[in-house]
Amino acid sequence: MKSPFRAFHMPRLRYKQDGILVQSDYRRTRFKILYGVMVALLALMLLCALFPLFFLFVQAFKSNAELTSSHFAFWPEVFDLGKIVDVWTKIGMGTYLTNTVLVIIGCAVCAIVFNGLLAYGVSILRPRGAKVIYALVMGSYMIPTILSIVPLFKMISDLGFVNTYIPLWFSFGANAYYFILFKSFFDKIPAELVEAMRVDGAGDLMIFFRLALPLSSAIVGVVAIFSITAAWSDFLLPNLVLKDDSMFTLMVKIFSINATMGTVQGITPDMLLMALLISVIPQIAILLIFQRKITGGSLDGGVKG
Amino acid sequence: MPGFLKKATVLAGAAIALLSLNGCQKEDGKIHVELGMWPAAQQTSDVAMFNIWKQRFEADHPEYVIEPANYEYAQDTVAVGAMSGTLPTVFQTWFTEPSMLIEQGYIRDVTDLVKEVGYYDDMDSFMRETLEDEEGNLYGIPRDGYGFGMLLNLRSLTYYGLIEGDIDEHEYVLYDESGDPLYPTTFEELAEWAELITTNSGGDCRGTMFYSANRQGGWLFSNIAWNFGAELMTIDTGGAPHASLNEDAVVDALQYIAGLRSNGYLVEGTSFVYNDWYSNINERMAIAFCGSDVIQNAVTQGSMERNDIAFVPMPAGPGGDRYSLYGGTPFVFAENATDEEVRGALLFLEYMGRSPVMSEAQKTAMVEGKQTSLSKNEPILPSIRPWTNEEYNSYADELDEQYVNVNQEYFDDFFDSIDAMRKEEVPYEAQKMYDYLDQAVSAVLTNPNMGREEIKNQLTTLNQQFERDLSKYA
Amino acid sequence: MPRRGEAFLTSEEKRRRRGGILRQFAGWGVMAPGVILFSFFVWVPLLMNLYLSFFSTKGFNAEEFVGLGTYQELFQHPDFLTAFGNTFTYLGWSLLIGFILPIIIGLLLSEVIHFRALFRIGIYLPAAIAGLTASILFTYLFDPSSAGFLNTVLEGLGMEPILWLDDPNLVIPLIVVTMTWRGAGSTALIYLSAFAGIDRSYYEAAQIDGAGVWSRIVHITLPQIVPSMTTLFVLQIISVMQVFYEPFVMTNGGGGDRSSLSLLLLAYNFGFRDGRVDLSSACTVVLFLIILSLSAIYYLAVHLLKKRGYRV
Repeated sequence: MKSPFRAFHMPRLRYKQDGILVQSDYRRTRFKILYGVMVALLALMLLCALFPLFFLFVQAFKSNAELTSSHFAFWPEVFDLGKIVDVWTKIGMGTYLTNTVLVIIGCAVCAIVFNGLLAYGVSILRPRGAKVIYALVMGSYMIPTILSIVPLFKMISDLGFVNTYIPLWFSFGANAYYFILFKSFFDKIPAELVEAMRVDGAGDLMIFFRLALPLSSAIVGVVAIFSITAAWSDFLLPNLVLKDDSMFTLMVKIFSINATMGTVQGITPDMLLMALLISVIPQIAILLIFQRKITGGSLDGGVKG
Repeated sequence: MPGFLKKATVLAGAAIALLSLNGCQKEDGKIHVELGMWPAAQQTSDVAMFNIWKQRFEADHPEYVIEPANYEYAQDTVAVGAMSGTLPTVFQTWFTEPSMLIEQGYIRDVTDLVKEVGYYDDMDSFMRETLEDEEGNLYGIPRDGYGFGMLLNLRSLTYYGLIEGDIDEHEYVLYDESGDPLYPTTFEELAEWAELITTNSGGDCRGTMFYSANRQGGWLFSNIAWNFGAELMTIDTGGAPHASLNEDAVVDALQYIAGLRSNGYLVEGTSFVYNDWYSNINERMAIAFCGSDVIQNAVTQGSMERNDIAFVPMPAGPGGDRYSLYGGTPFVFAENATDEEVRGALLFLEYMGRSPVMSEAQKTAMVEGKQTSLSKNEPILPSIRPWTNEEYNSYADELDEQYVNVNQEYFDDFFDSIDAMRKEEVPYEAQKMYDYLDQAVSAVLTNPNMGREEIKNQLTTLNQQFERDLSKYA
Repeated sequence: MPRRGEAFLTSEEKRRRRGGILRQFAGWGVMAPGVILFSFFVWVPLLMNLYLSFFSTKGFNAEEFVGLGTYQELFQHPDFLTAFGNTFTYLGWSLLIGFILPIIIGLLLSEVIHFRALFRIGIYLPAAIAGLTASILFTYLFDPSSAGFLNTVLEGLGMEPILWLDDPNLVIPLIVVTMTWRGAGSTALIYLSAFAGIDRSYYEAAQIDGAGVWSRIVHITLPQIVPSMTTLFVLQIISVMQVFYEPFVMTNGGGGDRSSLSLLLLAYNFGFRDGRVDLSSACTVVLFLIILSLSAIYYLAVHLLKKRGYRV
């Protein structure tokens, strides 16, 4: 897929070759009108997608008194950028952000290594019985971890992993969706390449790291980004597993502030909104940095479960 | 990519090793007391104060180590904490929780230890009962008491002409010349006020709100139902509890709420939780039902001015019944905490100014607590005291005299009458009952035109369900 | 799924490719970590759920075998029927709102050639927002009071205020709107790729035949993306059956009492709020069986249709 940024220039309809409506259609006025309608519809969708974020941006700058007022005013009385810093320091978001980064890096690594290895085994090595594993994994595509969270937590606590990041990291190593993405890529690797490397004396792990992963760098990137986004958003298992405030991820902290309405932390609703805004910024940044991978990745993959 | 991956794997491995090391640092031969009520990291001045207390305590009792473990109580995390044995030695919970925590076996019996450190006899006996199981074993220490009452936004009430006063000076007239209250003392008067406020403000400011979710609706409503003359639960001669949710008085109370709702005298919405009053009391409603222990949230969370607050007793029902649901905000102790740990936690309460023992440490901590609140510009209010000994109370009176920074007159009626009005929550399955009452309140808020028969029928269904839950005590 | 060329190998070659006993071990060695993780996080907890559902429990431990007793209690529990019904209401609304919208967006994205990057990234953007953030944000948007944003807008338009999430009839559709807000963009991109994969020659032929826009969509575009549609359809059903986060954060199952309570939220509440792990497990098993049978129906239908030569 070409970089979408290249399309920021104004293409001309009369060159349109692909799709349902093509250049010849656009010679007719009614199709030009139809095209206008389509652009307008899409603009409406875009508005729907972006408005809530814009709303958050504006509301986050309101004072608590404004938020509790009996009359709604869309704009805050003042746009005080200092509030960002105030809320950041008051909540101490630096700690939670650092923790979040720690968690998501581990999650991404686990997501790539363990699902990748399993897919590699099922797709390329295929020992006897691999088909059973394949069927079981495909079956669990339908079952997210949260369905069995009660016994899962019991097992985590029996192993003494409470209040560590270990279960959070490794939970990403068992994801059927990432597995499928990897497998569909590995399936396309010609068997001859694997054989050739093996003849050269490479072991299975070497083939995985030197051949399979590099050849699938596109899907590695996609899984990395998907797992980073998912790990960033996750709060249920972290909320149960993490005990100390100093271990909390940003989402767990936001969840706990929201759950107590900030009374325990001395955080007012307006500060919570600002914290939400701050938490959204890195997510949007990740999207914009990796937008090609993401938009391209979804094209190749299935759907998020 | 492979190089990067390998490094990452090594890093992850190192991190795991580090984290697992974390678990085995307790080889110092001391007793470690994990303090769940350690303030959240965001409350910097409180954390500083706790650190001082910790130092003092550890200097006086070198056999103990206090470990900060800020734990924000929630019903789901307490379950997982108990299961994994990771609950702090001592933590603070909600007033409605002890019976559930005892039944589930999440917290431990501390009767003997409390007697040993000498707190037992000084404890308010009424509060003590709320923290005991059926055999009279004690499971917690009250931090302070709470009773339901009405929080009035005097500014709004004056602004919309219900009382006289000077908004700029924060001076309001709550009593007539003969000293009788001008604020609503019955539910009927409350309804009149709700109507006046709504009309005078053109709907900008409503009368009040009733909660109906997270079992907090039923919690408040049980108090209202009592005042309307309901019993909610009866105990037969054999000592077995029976549900009585479908009494006429309960229907009356629900119809009262439905009436206010259908006339638009309540804040718009049908599904409020207890915490929702903070964000509405500033401008959107004039009166909030809440416990006396959370009044300061009107200021810290709700942006109200502290001198605009009055806190008055629950109104009386049509039959003159007038109760205030009363209990204690407790400190409780994890089921797996050892005697030594619990003893340490109990002794530490003295250094927090939360014990009945009037040592220097206790007195200093009591003062420091007030000063910290003052430095945060929080309202300092009178409170319901958990200890009954003379020494404690005279010192607390002294501090109140010195530090209370609201107009005491607006709070006197509540604190003067609470001993006569207080009533403990139902002794069996209170949480379940609140759940059922939530449904009843929610139904009339959603459909305020429900007829008497319809309300009664719903209550009868809920009553049957509740009776089934209670049958195990027969 | 056999690899290309597999069919042409002799059995001898196949065996060689698979290798001897040593290679078998190596293969399992490579797969072991993944298998262990899947067992730990997915398979074993599920089996434990099944096991616990036949026992009475104290805390998180099984105490006494009660057979189907827990299920009996579950089916009689007043909240179960509510949650059961609600879960299907979620499903209905989600298919109504969340299924068709991404197809339309995908179609528009593939046809509109102006501001491509803006539209694609902009519409995908909500997918990058954490579900928790979105849920809290939309709770603010759907403020039921007359001082809420949407009600102020309605008032400005001369309309009556709405209770939004507090209205028992609206709460589920509004939660679905929140879910769709986050999910539609990424699903639309999948459709976009499906549209891009349609061979241009089909359209050219249709154009020569003078087929109109509508007929081109109905006769070429939609039939060509049927495989994507059926896959996404069943995935959506499965994921919406497990709706949990949004009602958990936005209404905690309330919104006019229990009108947004889902089965998974009920299971969570049983387990973590009421300390009834047995009921929680039984509820989870029931949900699992529903999902399992829906998936089975899907695979059966696909299988049958394929047999008859349909492209699904």
